[in-house]
Amino acid sequence: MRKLTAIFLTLILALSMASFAACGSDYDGEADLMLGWWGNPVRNERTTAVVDLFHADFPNIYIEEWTVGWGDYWGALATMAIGGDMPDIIQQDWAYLEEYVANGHLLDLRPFIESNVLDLRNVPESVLELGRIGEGIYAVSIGMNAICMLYDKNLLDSLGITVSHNMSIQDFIDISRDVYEGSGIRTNMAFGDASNFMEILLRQKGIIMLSPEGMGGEPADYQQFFDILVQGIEEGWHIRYEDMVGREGNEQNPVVWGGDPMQPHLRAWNTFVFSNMLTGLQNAAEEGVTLGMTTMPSDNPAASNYFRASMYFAITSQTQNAEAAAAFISFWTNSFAANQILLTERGVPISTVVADAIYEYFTESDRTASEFLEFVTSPGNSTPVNPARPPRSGDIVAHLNYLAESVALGNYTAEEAAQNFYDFGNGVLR
Amino acid sequence: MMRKRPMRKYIKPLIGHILKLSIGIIMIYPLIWMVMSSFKETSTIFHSAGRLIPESWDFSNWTRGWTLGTGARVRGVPITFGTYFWNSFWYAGVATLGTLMSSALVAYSFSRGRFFGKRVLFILMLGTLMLPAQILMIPQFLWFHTLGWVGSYRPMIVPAFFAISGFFIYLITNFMNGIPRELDEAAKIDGCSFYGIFARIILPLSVPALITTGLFSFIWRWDDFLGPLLYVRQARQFPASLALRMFADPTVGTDWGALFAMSTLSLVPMVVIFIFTQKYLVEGISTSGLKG
Amino acid sequence: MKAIKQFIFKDNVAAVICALPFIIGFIVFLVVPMLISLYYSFTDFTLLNNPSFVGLRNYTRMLDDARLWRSFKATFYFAFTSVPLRLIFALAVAMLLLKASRMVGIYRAMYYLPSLLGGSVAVSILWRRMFFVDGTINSLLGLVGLNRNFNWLGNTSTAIWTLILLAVWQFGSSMLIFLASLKQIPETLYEAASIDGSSKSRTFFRITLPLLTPTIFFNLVMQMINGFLTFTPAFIITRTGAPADTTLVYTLYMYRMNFEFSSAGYAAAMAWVMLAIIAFFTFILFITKRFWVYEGGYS
Repeated sequence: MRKLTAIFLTLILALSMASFAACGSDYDGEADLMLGWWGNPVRNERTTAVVDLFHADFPNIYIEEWTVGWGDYWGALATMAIGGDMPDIIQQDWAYLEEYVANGHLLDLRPFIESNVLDLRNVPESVLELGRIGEGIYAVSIGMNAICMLYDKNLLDSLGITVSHNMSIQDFIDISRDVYEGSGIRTNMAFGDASNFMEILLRQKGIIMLSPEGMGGEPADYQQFFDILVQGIEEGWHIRYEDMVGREGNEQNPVVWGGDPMQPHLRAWNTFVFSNMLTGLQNAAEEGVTLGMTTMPSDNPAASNYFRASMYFAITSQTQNAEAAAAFISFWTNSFAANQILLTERGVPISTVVADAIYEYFTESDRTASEFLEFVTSPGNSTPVNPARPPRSGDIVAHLNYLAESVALGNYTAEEAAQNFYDFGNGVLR
Repeated sequence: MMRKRPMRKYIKPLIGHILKLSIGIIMIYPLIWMVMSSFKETSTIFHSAGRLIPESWDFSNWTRGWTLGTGARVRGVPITFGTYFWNSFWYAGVATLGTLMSSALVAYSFSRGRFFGKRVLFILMLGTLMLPAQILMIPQFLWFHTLGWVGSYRPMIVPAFFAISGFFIYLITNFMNGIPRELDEAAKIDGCSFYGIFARIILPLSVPALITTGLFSFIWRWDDFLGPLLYVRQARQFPASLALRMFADPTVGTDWGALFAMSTLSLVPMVVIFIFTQKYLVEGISTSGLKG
Repeated sequence: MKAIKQFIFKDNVAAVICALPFIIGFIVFLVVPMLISLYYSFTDFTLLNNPSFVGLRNYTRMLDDARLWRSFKATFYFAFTSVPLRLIFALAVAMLLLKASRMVGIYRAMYYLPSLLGGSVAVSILWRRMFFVDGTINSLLGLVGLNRNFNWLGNTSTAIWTLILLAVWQFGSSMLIFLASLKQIPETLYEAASIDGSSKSRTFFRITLPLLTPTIFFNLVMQMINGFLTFTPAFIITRTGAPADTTLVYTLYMYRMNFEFSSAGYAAAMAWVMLAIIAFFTFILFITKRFWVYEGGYS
């Protein structure tokens, strides 16, 4: 019995290990790739369609898809990185790129670019540079976008309010007040990701919020954001924090959804996001809601506006099939058919040839996004994007969101919150 | 004593039954609501959240949920919930097997063995009761990371074969302590070794405790979310619990009808176990204070 | 060879061999990871980098970490309300079920089912949806004409109660334990009390409750520990600890630090601090045990 037990134990152990041993194949005519991205319903559908297209063109390359929401993506990716089972191709973000390169998790793409396996000949040099960390190029932008304000166009039209680019902070407050008085619909400048607007307000003064040396500027520089929020809460035009908690994804963003049936106080006329998000939000919007796009409120628009790579594809150093992976990114960048599907959901395509060719397939929101990007990228309308955020910025942004919540709930004054945020950020960064 | 009037004799128990039944209905209402919602057309679920019975019965949630799953695909083929359920069964089954074999052996040693340090070891074992999985989450993660096991089921299955669940050892030890020692002594006189007594006498007599252990181990592993969340990354390896969570990710958008259908399905094995083995479960909880 | 066989079959050696799985498992899967995490708790470690030694910095940082204190508050609030409530509920319902009737089996099954299924991801997902603005709870409130727009998950004082309610809802297993203990109380004690003319409540507080204290004690200890470490419901229902960190329970914060905020060293230190807290509470409970737990027999 003892022997039997022992044999059985070993057998089970061996079996359980064997069945989970790594299963990699050589790039021998056939390659299995894994593609990882964070997404939303629209993006997932389009990505899947492009993967099918790619497979039709490269029947020997199989792609396994791995996708989760933004909130789970980075934690999962970090454990995959140390566990040695990262996808071959990963969607990367400007905030994490440097950290992944510094720790040796991404491949330098220059050899593939030089051999044109990864064909970037139609991509402007300046866009290529967005993937450069130190000497190497570690990521390819898969779309360009700009920070922007989305607004409910039909609502503002019906109230007789017109919006033009480069509105000032005071314009923004006035519109918020008018919309609230006219319709009961509120404004959202803080909930979701407060760092978008905070950064814009700091950029007005030429301050970079997060850098490895610590927080930019003085504590007082951080107060304007909270001041506006306090004003909005006090005057009633800012959406209440308790009405925001638990909202899920694009479908329940207050700019498109205000309860069922719709109640004005649960809706907002605006949101601060990146321009590529228009597709997803417009898709989630109820009938009758058309979203417009304009610059973020700022008293110094040229200094605060910026554009950047919306996201990147990178090839991980754990891949067995780097060439096949490069071929996939190349296909993604250059295929007309693929980009006809993708449009501007991940940002405006980086290949100028492709961007021109697919223009005729653009929907209204794609046009809006691409025209807006054109405006922002025109000389004199913007300044370069801040350098990549240092590691642990996620912690600081989470704290900013908490402070915005607390200020809205009346637990902190604007001045306290500004000081608190400045100190917290320095505590984490230094 | 006063003689009760016949009416009162019936009314009092009746009120009792009504009270007990209402508590029971409140208790299981959420579950019934979920089951019913899985038969409503997705777009109507929350419009009609107040009513229980669907206006028209819609079975498409079930097929859609099953075939499309979390939306993850391998070679263009969607991974169905069949895969996720199979992973759950596999994981819960193997881990339970390991737990049973190792726990029984260790419990036997604690119950019948005599060796230096046994008392200390027993206290250490009880001490592990105070060390739930959550507190070990980060330490064990870092250790399995060092071993290179992250990204597989090994961190969840291998420890099961080394009896690290104090609960079960305690449960089985208690049971074995209740088996009369005369039986061992008789076997010993017949020439049985320490191992032989385990295999021929104690193990067969411990079957009820082993069944209880097996059931709870299976249920807990079936429910296990934290382990897979930390260690399993690739969609084709997901157990049902993790697949449901990924399915319900709000930023990815949620098909509530299909989600409720698959959620219901994920509870079915536990309900079936409960119906057929109620006796063992109830006894297990009652005698050991196990949380079920 | 024969000597080895004889050695292995010596009774005390055999006993140690049988205990080996636990001895090995204990060292390899508990002691070693704890020691490793002790090391990491003294380092700056992001999961992706090579850890560098920083001494006690992770521990001293805890003192100024206001978010950590909020997470303590959420955790203790959760544990100190949900555990007593669950035990009180379990005891009350167990008393109700004590009277034998044909329906007992059905009631017991109904009460126990949530306990069996409540730990699952499916139920947590269901819970989140039930308490959402357009969820079941508000629809039901609407049916009886009450305000149906309250955001249970958004209000800083109600959000944690959705988690507490989920925990209390699972009173079934405690109820079964109480039922078993109640049945062990000898009938003769009640008869004696009834002859003495003791009232029902007096009987309960003088006889039933004292005799149940050992059971209550054991459950209190175990459930407190589990209460301090609740994770899955918070992770699924509120995910980030919203609103304003009122549902940021300790384990959730630890998870976020480790995997989302690139502070694995800090998270390791947090695990050690929690271990110390649990040891402390268990110790306190055992100290107070002799003042309120009845240790005598049933005679």
